[in-house]
Amino acid sequence: MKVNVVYLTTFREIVGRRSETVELPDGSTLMDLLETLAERSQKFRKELFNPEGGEIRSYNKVALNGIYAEYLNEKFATKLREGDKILIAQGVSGG
Amino acid sequence: MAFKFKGYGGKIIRVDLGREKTVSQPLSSDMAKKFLGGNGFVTKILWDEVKPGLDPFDPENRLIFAIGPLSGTGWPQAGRFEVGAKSPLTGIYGDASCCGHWASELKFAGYDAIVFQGRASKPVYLWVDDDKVELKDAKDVWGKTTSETEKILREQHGKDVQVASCGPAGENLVRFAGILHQRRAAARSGIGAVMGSKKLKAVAVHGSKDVALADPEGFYKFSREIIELYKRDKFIESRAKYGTPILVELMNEIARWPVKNFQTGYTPHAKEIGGERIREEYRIKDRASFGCWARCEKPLMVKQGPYRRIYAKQPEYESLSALGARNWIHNLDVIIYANELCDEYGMDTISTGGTISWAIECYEKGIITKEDTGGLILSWGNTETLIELINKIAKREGFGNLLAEGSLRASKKIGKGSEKYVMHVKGMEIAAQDGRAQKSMGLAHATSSRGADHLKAFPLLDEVVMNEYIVARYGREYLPEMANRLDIKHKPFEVKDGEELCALCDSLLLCKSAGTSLPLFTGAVYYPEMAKAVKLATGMNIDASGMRTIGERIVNLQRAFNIREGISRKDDTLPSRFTEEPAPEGPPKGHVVELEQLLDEYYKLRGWDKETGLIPRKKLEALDLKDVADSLEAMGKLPR
Repeated sequence: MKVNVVYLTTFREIVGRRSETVELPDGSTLMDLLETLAERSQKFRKELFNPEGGEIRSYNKVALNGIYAEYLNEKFATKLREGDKILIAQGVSGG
Repeated sequence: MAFKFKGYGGKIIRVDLGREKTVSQPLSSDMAKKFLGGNGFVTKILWDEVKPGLDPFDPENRLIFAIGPLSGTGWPQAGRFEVGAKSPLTGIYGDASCCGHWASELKFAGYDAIVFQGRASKPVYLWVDDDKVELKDAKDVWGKTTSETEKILREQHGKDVQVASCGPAGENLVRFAGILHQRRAAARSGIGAVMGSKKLKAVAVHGSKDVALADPEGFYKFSREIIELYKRDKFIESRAKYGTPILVELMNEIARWPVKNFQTGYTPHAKEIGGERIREEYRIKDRASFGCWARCEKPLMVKQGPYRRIYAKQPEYESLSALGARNWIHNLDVIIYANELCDEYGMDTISTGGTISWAIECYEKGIITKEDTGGLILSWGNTETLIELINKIAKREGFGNLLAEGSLRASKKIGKGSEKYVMHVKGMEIAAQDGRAQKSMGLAHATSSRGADHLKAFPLLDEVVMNEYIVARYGREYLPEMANRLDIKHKPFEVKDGEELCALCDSLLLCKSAGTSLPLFTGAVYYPEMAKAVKLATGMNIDASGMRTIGERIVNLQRAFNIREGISRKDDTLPSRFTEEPAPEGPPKGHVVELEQLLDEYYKLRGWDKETGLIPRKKLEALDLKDVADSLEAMGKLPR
């Protein structure tokens, strides 16, 4: 299964690209994707997750096809589908 | 005699341009206590001195520059100044604010406001140098662009002088002309045209006095605590790094990004004009206003091509929308140039781009033709036409003369159903928020006192899901609906509360974008912190509840001003595109703004009459506005 990830703000700087296609095993969840990305870079992990508990920091925002994870029925346990678009951003609002 | 409260200059400059007279008068302590400063002062003076029905270009309109008790103190994010007048664009209450170093300079000169009335017989500018206040001949700067004007006046009066000026657009009475200072704009409401109508080119200020504080040690200790919070705040971090353009791609992804005159909320081209690209390819450095920790201004360099510029201003999120995607333009070099043109002419980019995109849509639909445009072909993505129209609007040449009236007036002249495509509220072009994708913004546009505007309520808690902050500010019972931008539940409350907070911010001249409405992550400055800062600065003992009341008083007095001009519920509306045409794509697909439901609840929370939107006497008296109730009653403008 392939999904499209778009990075904004600091995450774009850390990853060094605007977007990429990521291949995941079928049945993977949104959290599986984030863990996969965090495995590649400690800096990415540190920015994305709280140091304790493994939760996403509250000021970071992750959206699946334009819907923030908080409003998905299964939240970060939502299963991804082929072609999904995932947005990862930090600390942006106000306009 | 020294003013009763510290923090203030304690004086207002009154300028009668027709009689060429300037007078310094004491600030009323009662006005300071009830309205604090900034837009509080603007609102009170407009209510008291501008008669209903007055043509905004009549010499008797007032043009008011006002600052607040925190201006010039170094309090973080308090570098703005407010300018107000009856708006020539909307015919109702009008104001705009701007950051930079003008506000602090006026405080250093010892003043809290400057009120202009009348019309000069020839172009003039006001020169304020501490206690010396004089009108001077503006022959050297009349006709000059805003940055030329600043440069010339600084050469004449010294490099530390701070200048706010209108450009050629204001001189030519373009109804959405603004006032510029250091390439920053007090843009909305057409206040620059009021300035031009008075033949007032600029206000140049130099001050050298200290700002006295009630408790300097306590004030600066508290100020440092707040600064430390800001420095740790992730929002400030991203704002400092990118400025407002960082919002472009995010708002596009949630389909809230106006494209082709709001025909849709998404474009695959947003990445071409987003904040990340600007930072990577154009940014030179950061610049900050007085006392600003967000330093969101980013001078740019356009390195090559026909629009090459060595030191250009970064367009704000709003300008990237209005001059860019709204007109299907994604060439960043062109948008940067168009933005600079608007600043040099002194025009609001939102209304400029909004009016042009209305014209393009009408042309697309065959309503406007080449006969109307003088041969110009209007089309989406036409960069040459965008630049040509900006030039023509500022100079009021040809088709530009019609567009200089703003999209609503222009549509009334064109007719033929063109009114349907005017994206406005009360005559003001809507900013870069598609209300179908964020219901709170839809309501905020409809109820804003200056016509369509996002900054009067600035509802952000649902913009990117701020659950923790909603719980901290209001309680867990507001979740999950308040954080859901497509759910109308709690949105009237969010908008009402935001309007009062924003009115208070504008009276203290705090930057809403990076001062009070934000940061959302630390919640550093809210009513208790504002009350404490004002007490330490001024000695005025107003608690958090009192601060909230001041915000509510200002909102109601602005509404009263508008009611006196004939505004009622019928005017708190949105274009049919938002209320009848479902959003075509993205997360809001199928959504419209359920405006009537939202308004019913909003009026109820406000204590206003649901049928008419008028304010009952009881509400006005509770806000210590009995005289306003008496006046509205005499006009038959209280609800039955």
